[in-house]
Amino acid sequence: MRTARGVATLDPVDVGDHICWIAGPGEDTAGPARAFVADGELFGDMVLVLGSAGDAPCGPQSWESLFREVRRGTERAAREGFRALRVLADLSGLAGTETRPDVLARHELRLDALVADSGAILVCRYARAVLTPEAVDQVAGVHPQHLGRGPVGPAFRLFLASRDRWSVSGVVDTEGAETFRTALGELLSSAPVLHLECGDLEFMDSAGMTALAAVARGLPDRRIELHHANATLSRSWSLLGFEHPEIPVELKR
Amino acid sequence: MNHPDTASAAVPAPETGLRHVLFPYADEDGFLAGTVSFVEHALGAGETVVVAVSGPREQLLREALADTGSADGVAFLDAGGISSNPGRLIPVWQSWMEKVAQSGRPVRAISENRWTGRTSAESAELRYHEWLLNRAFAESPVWWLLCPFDTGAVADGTLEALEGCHPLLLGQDGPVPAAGYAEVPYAFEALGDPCDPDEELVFSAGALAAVRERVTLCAARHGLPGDRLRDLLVAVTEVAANSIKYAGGGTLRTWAEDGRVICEVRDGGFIADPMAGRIRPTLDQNGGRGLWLVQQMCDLVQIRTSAENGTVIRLTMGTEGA
Repeated sequence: MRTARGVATLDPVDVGDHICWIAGPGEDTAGPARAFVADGELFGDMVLVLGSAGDAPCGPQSWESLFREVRRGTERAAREGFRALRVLADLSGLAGTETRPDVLARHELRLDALVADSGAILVCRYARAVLTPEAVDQVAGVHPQHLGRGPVGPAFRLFLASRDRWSVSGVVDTEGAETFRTALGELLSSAPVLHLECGDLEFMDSAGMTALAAVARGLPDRRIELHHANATLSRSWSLLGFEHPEIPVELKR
Repeated sequence: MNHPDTASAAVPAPETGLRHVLFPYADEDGFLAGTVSFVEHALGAGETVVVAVSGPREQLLREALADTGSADGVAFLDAGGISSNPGRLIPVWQSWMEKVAQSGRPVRAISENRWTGRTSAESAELRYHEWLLNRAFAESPVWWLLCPFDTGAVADGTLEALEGCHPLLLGQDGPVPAAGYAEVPYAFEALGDPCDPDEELVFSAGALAAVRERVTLCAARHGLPGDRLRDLLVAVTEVAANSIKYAGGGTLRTWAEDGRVICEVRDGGFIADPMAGRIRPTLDQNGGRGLWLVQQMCDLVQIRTSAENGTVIRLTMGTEGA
């Protein structure tokens, strides 16, 4: 089972990790990148750097080319006896071309599923300057891990926890509800049944639940199953009247 | 005792709305005289009767109605299951009324609130609830609500305060307009002074996590257990989010007294609708769910709001559960 966490450096990253690195202006990116590459040799990983290991952003040409590189690299790493594929991808160029949060969420969620399935290690680096504040929140919320010092991370994280189960952890409140709605909408549009693990969800306020209900109601031929929702969430959901035939959401303890 | 709608031509008979009658009584005989006559008259007119009174009173009334052969026509509601938070009572009545109104017959109800064992803040909110009932059902089909009130069981001044919440007062000759009733504005009691509050936290956009952290610290110090804390955090988040959305931010104070954790949020906004949070949200409404959830989560919610002075909302959560 993959778990959400923040990391102060790239040293502790492990197989299956999908790390969000939003680099601020003037931040040293070359040092951590070199260390990440060096660790690849140490752990017997095949290393793939898409973009410069230094400051200049020159990452993949397209999201599809990134998916292709990761898939091929994973297969090759397995064939050649490496522990895993270790990727550092500078996505500032892609994000600079298309900054819409829903587009970023869609690609990152697909990447997360790919990383989880393939057992790769993927660090997605973005220059903060190319992202809108909404896009920063959106991108951070769809990675299970983020790189950053200090206790503050994304309010919630949505990621593939196990084979067919996505996880939402943290807090979904009014400040993150729109981001949550976007990410959830992207997930539900690609699966007939979305299993959402809520065991690590601290709570969701009315704005978050309204977002969840709206996504489900907007795709009536799909279904969302919430697993291990806590008592407060279950009660709130009922109190808000969302236990309704028009809202295909089922809460399972 | 005369029945409410058979006496006193001075009583206005509106086409719609609640005929809300305060019925003070001094002893069990007085209680039975007023309530049995009310029930019998209603049943005689083919009306639906619902009763929500405390256990001992319910038993008393059941036995008296059995003696007169009237018990079968009366629906007794589980008063023990009714929330102690007065902010949740109007939707409970609305739900009951929707159900009983399906019969198509006029409705008469008896409801006796529990006034003993409440804090002064809870009693004040219960009085406000009684006053708000008139507004909540102003447009509904006509129905009668008789509110028995044991004058021997409460503090001096309570009866006078309650007269200000009921348009009608039941006396020996039937209902008469309550002299103290004021349609608007409601005279709120001032909020009590906080008991050694923590340092104030001024918050604005992006600070909901800090607000929750402050509440969590206070709750941990005073032993609020996990589920109750999570309920309180949801409620505080809703209130603080409203402050940010409508007033740009606010100020949080937290403290504890008598086994209760209290969170107070102040801001410069104004809540124009006194029914905010007391009406069950519909599936299609945009927003407006936050205060509803707050009322459902907390043991007590006190709201003081005006265009001149802004809004103060106090949320109370008992460490032992309501």
